[in-house]
Amino acid sequence: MNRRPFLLQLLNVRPSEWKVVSKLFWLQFFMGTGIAFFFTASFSHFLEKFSASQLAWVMIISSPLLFITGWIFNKFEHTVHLARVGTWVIVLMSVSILFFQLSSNWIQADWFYYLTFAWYYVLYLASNLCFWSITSTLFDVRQSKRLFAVISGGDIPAKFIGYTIAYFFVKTVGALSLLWPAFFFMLVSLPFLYHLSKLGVIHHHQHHSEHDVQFIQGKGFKAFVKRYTLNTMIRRLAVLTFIISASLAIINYAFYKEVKEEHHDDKQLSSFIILFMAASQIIALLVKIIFTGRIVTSIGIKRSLLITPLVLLTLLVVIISAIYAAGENKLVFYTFGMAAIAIEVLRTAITNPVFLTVMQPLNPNARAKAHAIVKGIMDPFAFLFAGVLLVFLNMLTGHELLVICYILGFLTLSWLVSVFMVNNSYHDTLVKTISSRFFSQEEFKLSDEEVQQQILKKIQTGKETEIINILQMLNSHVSDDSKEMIFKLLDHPSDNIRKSTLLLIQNRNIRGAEDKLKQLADHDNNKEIQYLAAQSLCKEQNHHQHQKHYLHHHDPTIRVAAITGMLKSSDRSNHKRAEEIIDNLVHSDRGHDKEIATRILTEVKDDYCHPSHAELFKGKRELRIRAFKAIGAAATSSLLEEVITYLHQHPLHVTSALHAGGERSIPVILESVINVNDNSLKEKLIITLGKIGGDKAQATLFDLLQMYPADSGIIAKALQRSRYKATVKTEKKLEEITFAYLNYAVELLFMQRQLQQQHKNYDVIQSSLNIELTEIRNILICLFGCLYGHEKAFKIRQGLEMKNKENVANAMELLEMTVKKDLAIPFNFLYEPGDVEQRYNSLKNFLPADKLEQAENVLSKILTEKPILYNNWTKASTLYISKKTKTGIDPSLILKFTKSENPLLKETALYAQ
Amino acid sequence: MEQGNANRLLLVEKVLLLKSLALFKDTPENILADLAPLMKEIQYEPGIGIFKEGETGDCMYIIGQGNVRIHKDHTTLAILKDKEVFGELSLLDADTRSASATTETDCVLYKIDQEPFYELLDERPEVARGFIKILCQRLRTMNEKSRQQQSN
Repeated sequence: MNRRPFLLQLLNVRPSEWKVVSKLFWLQFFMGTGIAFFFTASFSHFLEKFSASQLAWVMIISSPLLFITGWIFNKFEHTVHLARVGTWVIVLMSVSILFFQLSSNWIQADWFYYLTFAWYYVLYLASNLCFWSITSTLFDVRQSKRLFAVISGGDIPAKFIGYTIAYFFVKTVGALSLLWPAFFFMLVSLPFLYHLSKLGVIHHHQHHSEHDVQFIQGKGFKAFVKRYTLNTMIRRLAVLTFIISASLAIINYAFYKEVKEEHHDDKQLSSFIILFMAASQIIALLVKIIFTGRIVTSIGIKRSLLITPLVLLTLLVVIISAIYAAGENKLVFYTFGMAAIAIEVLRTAITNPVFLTVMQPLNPNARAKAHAIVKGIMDPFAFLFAGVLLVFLNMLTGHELLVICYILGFLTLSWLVSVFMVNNSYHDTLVKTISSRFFSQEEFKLSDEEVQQQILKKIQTGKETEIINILQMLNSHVSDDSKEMIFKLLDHPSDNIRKSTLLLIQNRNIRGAEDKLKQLADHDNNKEIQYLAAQSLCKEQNHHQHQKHYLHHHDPTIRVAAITGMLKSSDRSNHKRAEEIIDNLVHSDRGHDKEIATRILTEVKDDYCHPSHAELFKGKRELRIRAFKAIGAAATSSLLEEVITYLHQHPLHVTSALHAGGERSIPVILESVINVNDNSLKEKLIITLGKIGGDKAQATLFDLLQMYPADSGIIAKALQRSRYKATVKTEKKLEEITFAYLNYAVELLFMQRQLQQQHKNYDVIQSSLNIELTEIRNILICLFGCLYGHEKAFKIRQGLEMKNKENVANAMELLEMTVKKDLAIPFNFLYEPGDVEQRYNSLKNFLPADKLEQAENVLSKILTEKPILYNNWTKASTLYISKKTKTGIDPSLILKFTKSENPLLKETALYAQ
Repeated sequence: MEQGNANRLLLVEKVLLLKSLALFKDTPENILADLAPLMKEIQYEPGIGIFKEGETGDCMYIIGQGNVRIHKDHTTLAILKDKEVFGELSLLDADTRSASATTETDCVLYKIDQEPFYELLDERPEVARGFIKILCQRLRTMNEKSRQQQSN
């Protein structure tokens, strides 16, 4: 059984993204495993020789290293292609691991131990920067949101597996030997980056200078600081991240110190730390999968961010109480262990994902900077701070752990304050952003009281466009919270806002604003608003009093509003009353009444179909066309059957009406396709099926494919139009058609070559055959869209249509990567820029030796309509050229076109006779 | 002025004439085949005014044969020859003519009126697409020219 579709569904990854996502997963998996090994080795090696208090120096040493790493990466990220930067980073990381492994045999100096452990932090930052920089270029915002959990989740199982394997290794070979597998795993990640690079999906990082927040140009520390301090929210996020990183560093320090006191040799140390890390990773994975989404959804941003510091604060209270009660004992050790796990888990599983949500309202440029904060740009500063602080503490004697607890307590309180500050900035940014661009409620919590207050404030003070954006956001999900805000907008002084609000109330059937609607319907200065308000009132059930009032209103427009409102209502008695009124209008002798009837029917076309609608077709041409336009999704089958009888007279308007009729039109169209003689009408009907789309239309198109194989080209176009995706069952059929069209195209190319070898001037026919080849190309791209994804097919078509050579080449490259080789290769040979001979040579083995020895055969073949149904121009130009060049052709082939309905073909055939 | 004669062009020949114009050189013949039936052949003697400056334009002309002088009063702006086009913007957007057009020699002109052209656009979206492409190309060329002029 193929499990991939289930897995893709589970992970919310689209099939077209799977290649990239899986490669990213493995890239991170192997880098993460390598780093897990390196950490275990360097950590155990270090603690075996030194006391845990020396870890503070490791932090201080790692601080400048981290800063330099971040700075170098940032420099190259914007000047060299990311795939290359990524390769350099992985190679350098691997080489550095190898260096530490080999050097450990002959360098025994103390500094080497410090450097090895500090290097772990460098590797961690470098891999994070490399991975996330590449990832950020691969997906658009929507994809990132959907795929981020899967991609970021890759790190956790990687580390879990890494630590688990390390556990078994360390028992047999010792801690330092773990550097070999670290080197190996790091190197193994390289092919995955190479594959990603080959897919052509990694792009060069660009500065987004066009965005509304000015990008801070310039080098040096000043510019660096300015980049992260100009925007209030980024500044506050940076401070919060700094506090979190410093707290984590101090907790880990304290915990490792306790671990060191419990376990003395390197194997014991390694085993313990491995089990500890593996446990924390598996807990993080479970929390992330099971709880994160639910927690954030139910308690909101602020409370989610408060979880970690509150948990830490509680554990600190337990630790301090335990120390006061019984000094440093096992309880303190395990509680510190719990704190270390809890903070690591909560940071990975809740704080970081919530940070990404908080960053969502920022513009792309600011968001990129904010992402860098999560990637670890604040780590050097946090490490320096924690390192210096701990070195200073080491100088103190006595109750060191207690002092650490108090420092942590202070940091945790700052953390709490910082969360509130970030939350405030988030609200400000959010309201500012939703006022300037469209947002949906899924991207933040409207139940949050502060958000509500901010939005209400904006409603009162904001500009028209800002408020309409807020309205669109409220429209994305109507709840009790949003309802109140929507009603407030009915009082807004702007006509556009009141109008948009009324439309929203109507479309979403929002109830509870009766008094306000009546006031607008009776007293508003704007006629359109009066109309919409009266319509909304009459739409509601049990509003007979309003209906009576507006049906007899002195203004005829308001009367129309009342009728349309009643027709849009779900109440049957409303319908009946309105129906009688329309019936009188349709059967009235006055043209004006019929006009009003079409106007009403047009407005309610998707909700209601009047039994006498077809009566309007009997009127004058203009009225008939308006009556066609009044057909919508509510049209009955009998009305659609009536419409299609006018197909020959008004092909465009009738097919538009059938399209508007939706799925109910399908049987009517099918019947007409079977009976119609005119090919162009048949094509229009088939394309209309494609426009209607959906499973039924697609099934009908497949039926037509069986019935009319000669029309498979136009059916393929219709399938593409319906965004059809091939299934396992239909894939084979579509591939067969693709092969058939490739064969036709090759045959046309061979015909072009035959014509080229003649001495007569066949340029006009050559040009016609080029048009046919382009037509086949379009059909093939439609088929590729159905087989391999419409977005890619669209990009391929776009590239091929551009005149620029590079774009054509890129499109062909994309095609080769997307489409089955057997189909992609002949396609590219056929359509790559070049002369006919060159293309013929590439394709001569594709078809059996052709029989087209003479040009006459080519011309005859076109006129016998083989291998395809040529367009009328090709046939007409062939007839014309055959006469001009005196090329002998069977007269019967010309004669049949003298009776053609097409004037061009008929006239040319008569001339060529 | 005389409309049509026995030596009139076949529809195929009209398509080939359209294709030979710089304006339609990139438009596929199957699309031009829809446009060709709208071409009305008109014969002019020398010195006949085709239209005057300030008149509302609602058609375009293709010179099948002969020379046409484009002028403002007595100042000649251009002499147009075989397979050249004038008044083409009027096909899409009715506006007053910016100059007058008068025949210099015996001329065979092909006129395309706006109204049937609009109807064709209504019925055949691919023709509209073809014209949009032409306009886009012209716009790009003009942008490029103005960019070059600015840089000079």
